[in-house]
Amino acid sequence: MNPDSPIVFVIDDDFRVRESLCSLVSSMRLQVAVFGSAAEFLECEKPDAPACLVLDLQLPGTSGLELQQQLANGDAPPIVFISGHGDIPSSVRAMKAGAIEFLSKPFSEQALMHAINNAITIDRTTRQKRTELAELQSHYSLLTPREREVLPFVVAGYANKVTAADLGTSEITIGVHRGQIMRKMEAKSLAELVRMADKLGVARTSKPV
Amino acid sequence: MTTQRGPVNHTRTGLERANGPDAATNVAASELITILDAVEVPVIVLRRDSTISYFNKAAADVLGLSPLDSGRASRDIPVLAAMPHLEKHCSDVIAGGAESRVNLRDRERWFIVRISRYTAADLQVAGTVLTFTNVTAFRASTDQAIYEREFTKAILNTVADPLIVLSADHRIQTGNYAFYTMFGVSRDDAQGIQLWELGNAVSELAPFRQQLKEMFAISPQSQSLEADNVFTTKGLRTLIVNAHPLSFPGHSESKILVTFRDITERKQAEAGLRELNEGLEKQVRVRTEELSLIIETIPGLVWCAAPDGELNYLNRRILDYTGATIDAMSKLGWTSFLHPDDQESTTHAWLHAVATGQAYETQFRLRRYDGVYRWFSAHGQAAQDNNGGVTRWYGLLIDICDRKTAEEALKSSEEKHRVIVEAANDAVISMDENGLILLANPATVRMFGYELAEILGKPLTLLMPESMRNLHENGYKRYLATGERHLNWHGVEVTALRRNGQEFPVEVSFGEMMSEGHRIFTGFIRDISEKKKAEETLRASEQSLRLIVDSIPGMVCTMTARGELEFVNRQVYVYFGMNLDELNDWSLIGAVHEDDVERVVARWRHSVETGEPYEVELRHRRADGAYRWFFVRGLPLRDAENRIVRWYIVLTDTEDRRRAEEALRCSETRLSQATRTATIGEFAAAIAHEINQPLAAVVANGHACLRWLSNQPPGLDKAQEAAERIVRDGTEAGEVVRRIRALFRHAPLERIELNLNEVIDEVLHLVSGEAAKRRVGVETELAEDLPAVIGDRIQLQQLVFNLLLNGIEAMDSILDRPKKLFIRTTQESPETALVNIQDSGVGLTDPEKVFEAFFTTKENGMGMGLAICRSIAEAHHGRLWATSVEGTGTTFSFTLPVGARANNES
Repeated sequence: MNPDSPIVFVIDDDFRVRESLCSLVSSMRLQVAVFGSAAEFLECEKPDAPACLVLDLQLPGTSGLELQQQLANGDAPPIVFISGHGDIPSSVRAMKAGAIEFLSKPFSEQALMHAINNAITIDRTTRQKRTELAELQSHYSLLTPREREVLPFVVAGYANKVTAADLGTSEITIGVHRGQIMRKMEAKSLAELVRMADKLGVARTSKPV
Repeated sequence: MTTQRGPVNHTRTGLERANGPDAATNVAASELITILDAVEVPVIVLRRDSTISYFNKAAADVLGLSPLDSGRASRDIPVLAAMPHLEKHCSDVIAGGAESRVNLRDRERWFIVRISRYTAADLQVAGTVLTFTNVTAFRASTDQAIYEREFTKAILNTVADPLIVLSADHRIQTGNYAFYTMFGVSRDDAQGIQLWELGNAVSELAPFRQQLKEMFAISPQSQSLEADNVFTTKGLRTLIVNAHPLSFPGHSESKILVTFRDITERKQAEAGLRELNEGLEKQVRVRTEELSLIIETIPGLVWCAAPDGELNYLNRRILDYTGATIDAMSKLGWTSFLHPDDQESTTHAWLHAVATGQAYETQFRLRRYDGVYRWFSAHGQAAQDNNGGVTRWYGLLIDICDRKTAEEALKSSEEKHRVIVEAANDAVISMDENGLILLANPATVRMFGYELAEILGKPLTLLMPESMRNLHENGYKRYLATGERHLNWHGVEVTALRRNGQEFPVEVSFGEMMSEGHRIFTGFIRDISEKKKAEETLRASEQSLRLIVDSIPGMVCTMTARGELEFVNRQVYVYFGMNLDELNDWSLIGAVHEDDVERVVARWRHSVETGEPYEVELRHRRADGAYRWFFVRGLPLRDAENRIVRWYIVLTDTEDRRRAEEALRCSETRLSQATRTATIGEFAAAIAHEINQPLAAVVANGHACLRWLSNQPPGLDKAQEAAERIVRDGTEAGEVVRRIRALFRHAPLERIELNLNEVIDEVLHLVSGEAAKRRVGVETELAEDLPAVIGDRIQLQQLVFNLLLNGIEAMDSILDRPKKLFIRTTQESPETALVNIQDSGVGLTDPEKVFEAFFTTKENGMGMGLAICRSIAEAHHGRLWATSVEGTGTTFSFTLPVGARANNES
């Protein structure tokens, strides 16, 4: 298995459905893994690749919705629900909880493929963002405490002089810090630094007193 | 004045001296003296020197000469001195010889003094002789005559009417000023002309003349002539000419006095007056006619009488009425026309009036021409002159018969009323405008406890409690002022106050009337204390009765013969949600279910006609719109003539009973019908799931197959695998469908030999999915040597399916222990097979209740499942029951007859 190629997880208690879906997804040239219950899925180790989860509502033990809830906290793949019952309240709940799609059996291949591709794309983006953020955070961890102090002022757009006055240090020192920050964060411009700070959730300082 | 005189001798001396003492002469002289003394005429002889030589007795008496005066000069004698120029006259006479007469006035006496010569014997004029002729009277009369003449003249001239005196031959001798003025002639011009020749100045006297001539021609008697004459100055005047012959004794010549009077104005006035009179007369005539007409027409009998009481006029009506003549009525004859009983009093009254002049008023019965007596009231009034004396009586009789009758009736009715009021049990009180009690009947005394004297003249409020008094006063004042009543005058309940302070309820009605200009209010007061008590008792008993009736757990009502509701008890109000009026409007028929109406009406009519009690079952609509069945029973109440007076109706709610009956009656049919529908839901769920899974797989496999085939390179193996799976799963789905179809076939209850275990297995397959989903463990213990049972496969499958499903669902809420469904079949006895289906659910409180129709613990359940199971079991001559341990689980068990036995019983 290519670690980077997308993978589809299928969870359904009916073996016939598992078999058919496995075949179908394979024919879409996608990796596929099938499970008979939520527990099985959770136990299994998942590869680090963009993924999609095709989940039956009615499962023994933990139901599809319950699993959705459980996975909501973590970095779970987007979910496409399938169901033989197709009652509206369940579908509404599923969608509200963030599912990508809800399909009733028997579903069209088109719908399934579309949903799976959608999900994978989303997952890819999510993962990327996650990676980016991780990177930023590692960069941020390189900053000294003082530099972390200075960062809010810089991204707020205050002149070094002002920042220096507020922090009780010299302008030149601020200038030095600024340079370090830019280098460590690998920001090519102030604008980029600002974006990085936003992503990191660093608050911009309001006007110093 | 006469002085005492002796014999007169002085004169003699004088004469003697003159003549000498001759005896013969003496004798002649003394005779002369005697003669002279006997003559009444005073004679005085004066000597030439005007001294008195002699005077006679008469001179002494009349003129007051005394003997001493002899020889005195005339001027010394007062009386002589009074004669003017006496001495001269004497001298003249002596000288001339002719007599002269001189007037002498001595005080009031007039004398004519003749002075003549006195010739002595020697024929010498010795002096004068004065003789005094007393002409006092003459003069007086002459004076008088002159005076009178002057006076008359004055009168005549002053008199307005022209006056002339004509001679016997009608010539004007004298006239007054007015005459000359009237006729426009002067005195001179008129003097001596004949009267009718007057008028040179006045041209139109001709006719007048003629008239005058004629007048005098007739005879000079006193006569009058009226003549018109036109005077130039005055125009046409009418004159009255009066001529009076005048003749005086001693005058041969008679005269005629003619007076003229201008009566023109008078005539005009007369004419005017005459006209006026005529006019007045005419008016009077007309008036009189009118009056006569009035008097005749007055519907009253008019009479007049003289002051002495004698009738002197009766109008037409009286005469017509009585049929009498005026003669018959006169001299008190009219009294015979009166009713015998009234004659005396009437006569007495009339005579009294006549005597006193006072107005005459009385009433009596007067006999009509046909003998019928009618009441009249007689009124007589005396007309009086200035002195208060009666000049005439004027009277009127008015027919008061009707009034009398009415009065009699009124009196008798008043009498009746009085008796009623006196005898009445209710208090009757009259009060005046000021609210003071005028009258009270004996009942008042009894009711209030006052003496009559204590309440007469007192205010009505005395009989009211203090709290009511103000209200009454205000209301009464308002009524007097505005006419507004604040109470119902015909029966109002108020509180009254007895003398002893006790307040008690009364019913009052009062009325108002006018009496002689005053308002009188009369009230009738009834003591209703007893009535009130009775009412209270009645109300209380009514109350308790009503309570009873309202408490009856049924609807009760009474209806009039016509079908109007009189009384309904509480349940009726509650059930229909309407009040009595609304119900009556609605007429209860409106509440009847439309399907029942015809039957109800027919039944009602029948009852009314035949008198049979009214019994019917119907549906009535409740206030909330729901219909309920009622058994209605009505009994009529009849009067003496057997007519229905009232219906007494009781309605019993039979809805619940009916429902139960209906449920009972239809339960089997409904059960079997419902069976299929009830379990459809559950089946449908199972079916849907059963079919959907393989179907989804089939579709997915189909897609997969196509994809594999179109892949580059095509995955032919994969495609084949997919196709194979399609066949497999599709067939399986078909199988499910077949099975389901079999279930819905209306196959009659089959009676075939069945392997119970097989049936159970088949059903297990159906529920396996569900069981797995719900994490229910299914265990079986199926006896291998279980004999066959006779029955319907489908029905038994249904039975088992229901029980299994029930068991599974019963364990839904279990969290603390494993969910286990345990199925066991055994041969209980040679005739019976036993099946146990045990779950580890919550258990049942009442293992019997679950088999009741419509009993369910499920939200969406119909509650028919177990009831159906039982009916299936029983249809197979088996039994179905449940046993349970609360908190542990429930076991449903059913038995079925085995083989030969079932056969025998078919």
